Amino acid sequence: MKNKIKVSIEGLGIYRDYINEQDQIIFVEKDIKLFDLIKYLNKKLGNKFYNNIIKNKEINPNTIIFLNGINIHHLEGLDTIINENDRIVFGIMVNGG
Amino acid sequence: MKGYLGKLLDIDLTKNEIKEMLLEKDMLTKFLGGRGLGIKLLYDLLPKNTDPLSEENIMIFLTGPLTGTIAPGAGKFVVVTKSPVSNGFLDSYSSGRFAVELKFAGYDGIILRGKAKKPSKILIQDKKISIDNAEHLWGKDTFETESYLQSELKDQELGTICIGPAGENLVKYASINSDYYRQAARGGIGAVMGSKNIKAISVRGTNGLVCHDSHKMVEIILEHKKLLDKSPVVANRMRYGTPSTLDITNEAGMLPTKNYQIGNYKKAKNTLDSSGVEKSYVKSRGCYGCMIACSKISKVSEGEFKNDIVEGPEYETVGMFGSNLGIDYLPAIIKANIECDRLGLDTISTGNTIGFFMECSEKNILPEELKKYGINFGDYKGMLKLIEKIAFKKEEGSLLSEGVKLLSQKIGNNSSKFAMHVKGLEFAAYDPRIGLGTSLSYAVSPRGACHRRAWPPAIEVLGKLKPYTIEGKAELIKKMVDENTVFHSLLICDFPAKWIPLEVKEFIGYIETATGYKYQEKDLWEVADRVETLIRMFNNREGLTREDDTLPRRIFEDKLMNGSANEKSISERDLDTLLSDYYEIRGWNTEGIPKENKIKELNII
Repeated sequence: MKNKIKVSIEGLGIYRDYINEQDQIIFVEKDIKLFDLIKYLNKKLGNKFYNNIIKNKEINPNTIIFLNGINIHHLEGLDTIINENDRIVFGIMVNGG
Repeated sequence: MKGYLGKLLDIDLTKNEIKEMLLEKDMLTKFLGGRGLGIKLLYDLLPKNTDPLSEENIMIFLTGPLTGTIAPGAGKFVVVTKSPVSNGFLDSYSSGRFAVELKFAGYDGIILRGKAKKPSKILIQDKKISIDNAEHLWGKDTFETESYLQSELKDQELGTICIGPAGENLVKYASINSDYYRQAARGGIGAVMGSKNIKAISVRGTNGLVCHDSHKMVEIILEHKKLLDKSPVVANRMRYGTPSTLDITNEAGMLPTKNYQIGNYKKAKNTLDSSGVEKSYVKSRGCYGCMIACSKISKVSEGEFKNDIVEGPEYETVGMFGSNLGIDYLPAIIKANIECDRLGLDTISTGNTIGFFMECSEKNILPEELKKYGINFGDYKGMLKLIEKIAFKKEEGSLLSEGVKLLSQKIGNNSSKFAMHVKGLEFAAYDPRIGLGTSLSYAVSPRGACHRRAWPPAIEVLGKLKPYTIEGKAELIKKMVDENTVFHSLLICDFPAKWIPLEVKEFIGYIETATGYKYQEKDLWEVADRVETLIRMFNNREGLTREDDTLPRRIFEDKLMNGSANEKSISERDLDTLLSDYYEIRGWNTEGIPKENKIKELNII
């Protein structure tokens, strides 16, 4: 666990179906990029989750990913480095309410 | 042209006269219907400087060329009038049986002029039209009224719109109700109907509607249905309805909390977000012609409001009665929703006005005569009592019934800084400090702070565009406003269009198969430009200026805490720059007045 960091993940809306309560805390390699973390989740949570999140190696426009409340597009996108105790939230795009 | 009926019912309540007004093809192709046709008629028919609550004001109830067809979300109507809140243009939308029955009865809409001598109702059964006494209904709530009319006529398919006590009492945010739980609610539209002594309009049409090419329309829908079936956005909405928006606005930090002091409500998790609200859902309901059925029927399962049922609550209602009032008890929000529907009140403005009053109470700045009515954030019992007092204008409810703009003038003490409105219309459930484009869209909206003119957070908060840059924002807002203007002139629901998603160009086929008239995409964008420019001309004529295109001081002076706004406020200078940019790309001068060459180019008058 020495080179591992603790990260919390959460799904909103239909993404809740993929991430159970016990899956919300994960340990991943230090300095991991978001894309690699999502690939790790692909193994853990299944292809369907991954295929909803990623389209042509980019974030699916139907998906919004927040890192500590910030839209990941406004950081470094899939290349964003994840740090200890970061909170990553996966949600479905909305257009009003 | 097929799709349209080519005529309006023209009812003069003062003279007790019923006529028909023919609609020329040229007017329909230039303004489409709904919002577009509404502003054309309002501009031409309403004398300048008319008092909105006088009998000289007119109300225009309109459908669109797709209403009553099987195009996605084609079951809506709009009511257009001069606003008692802004003194400018007001368009208020609802779905409901009323819209399709009106088309089936043979009319594209209704114009109401004058004022009935005593409380009245209007009944339209195809060509049989009557204005009848409704004194026995005056004072009844909307549920009682609609139920009474259905029973009286022994017709469950009747399309009825009606006002409740709030509309009768001219509350500035009274709604017009439809199908029990649907409302044209914004801007005091119910007060205008109340000022005309009209309690209800019921319609039953048996003529159906002939389209230019129904088979082709079915083919288009089947193609769009395939897209719909693949859309995770649609899947999310089908399961959770509009409250799924709260998941995102809360996470992004734009969820109004305690009268827009904070952008995030931690207690919303598993109570007011989609996982919390879903626990109360008992079934889904779709509007006429909808493939999604995002509306949810909710039932309280325990506690003091056990067994209360509502269609909803929608996102805006959860936001305005929940986080905005510091209330995380969903059953109380469901109860508030029912009470607003029953009494005929806009849930957005009601929640906003109560939130403002709560903040004034907690800041201890209420005038002496109001201090005994002080109410704190989180007091759901006080909130429920206040809703009834507003509808009946009792005690402090009388002051609150005027909306936050006038209420803040009464309270004084610099409270106008956090009276969250634009042009007198209260903010909806997202905070404009989240981005510059979002701020611009609230500021320039002709009816006031409006969540349906455009929803820029989708692009500048949740998309790739940065929230606080100026470049491209005026163009973005124009495009988003114009897109909605096309949808709202066609009078289709913007939800299927946004969620499948379908762009403006994809409606060319629907219009052609309904009417036989083929637009190019550029023609539809030009219609939108024409409509928005004419709305601006109307507002200018009625005295609104650039100074009205602004935001409350809180947006410029107080930082929005939490979420991606990361302690941001909006620079007044940036907003001013964007306003100038927006006017320029619209072809309006620096004061926001459309230029002569633009009016000519758009062939407006």
